[in-house]
Amino acid sequence: MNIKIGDPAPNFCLPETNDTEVCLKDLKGKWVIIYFYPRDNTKGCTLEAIDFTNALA
Amino acid sequence: MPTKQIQIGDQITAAFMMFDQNKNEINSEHLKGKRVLLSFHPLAWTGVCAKQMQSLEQNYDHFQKLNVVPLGVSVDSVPSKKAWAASLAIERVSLLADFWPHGQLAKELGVFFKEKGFSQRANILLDENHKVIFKKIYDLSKVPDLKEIFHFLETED
Repeated sequence: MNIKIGDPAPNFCLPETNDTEVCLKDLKGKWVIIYFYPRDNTKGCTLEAIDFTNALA
Repeated sequence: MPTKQIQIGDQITAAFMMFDQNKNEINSEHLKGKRVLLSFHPLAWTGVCAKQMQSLEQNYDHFQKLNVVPLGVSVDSVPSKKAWAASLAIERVSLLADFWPHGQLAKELGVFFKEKGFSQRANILLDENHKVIFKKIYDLSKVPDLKEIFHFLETED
């Protein structure tokens, strides 16, 4: 079951890098990009994360 | 808690195959004739686990003298193990990725925490025919004491 454009996103809570929990419902009112990547400590995934970090600034 | 733990005296019947931090395939069949220390730990990039792996590295010569191949095992992936090994200056010990199927070896040996998704901290020592001769589960906050294993090996027979 793939999520489709127009579907409401299911809520989730996951711990982030500083071990605090992030819940989707707490981000209501903001645009959210959820990007998935294969594995930590690999080239493409690292570049992608750096890209996102840079885009935050 | 994990189910059905492997016991001392049990034979490891199914061969296991995993990749280490350098993408070398480690196949238990190729390690027949050597003793194998499976040193399970919960997760890469955590304090106690780092010390556990470093103690294997520091004692590598001692293990070699006793015909033991020490292997670090956790559910982390190969790229993660590679970066972690580099950060810890681990060059001799193979750090195996029990990544997919997730925790397969840990599950087979009954040292996998289902609720947590990672393995217990455990040392399982196999003899030359891969029969379990020593097994100990450690508190998650405790670095396993290798002296116990050396003492066991040096006082047997």
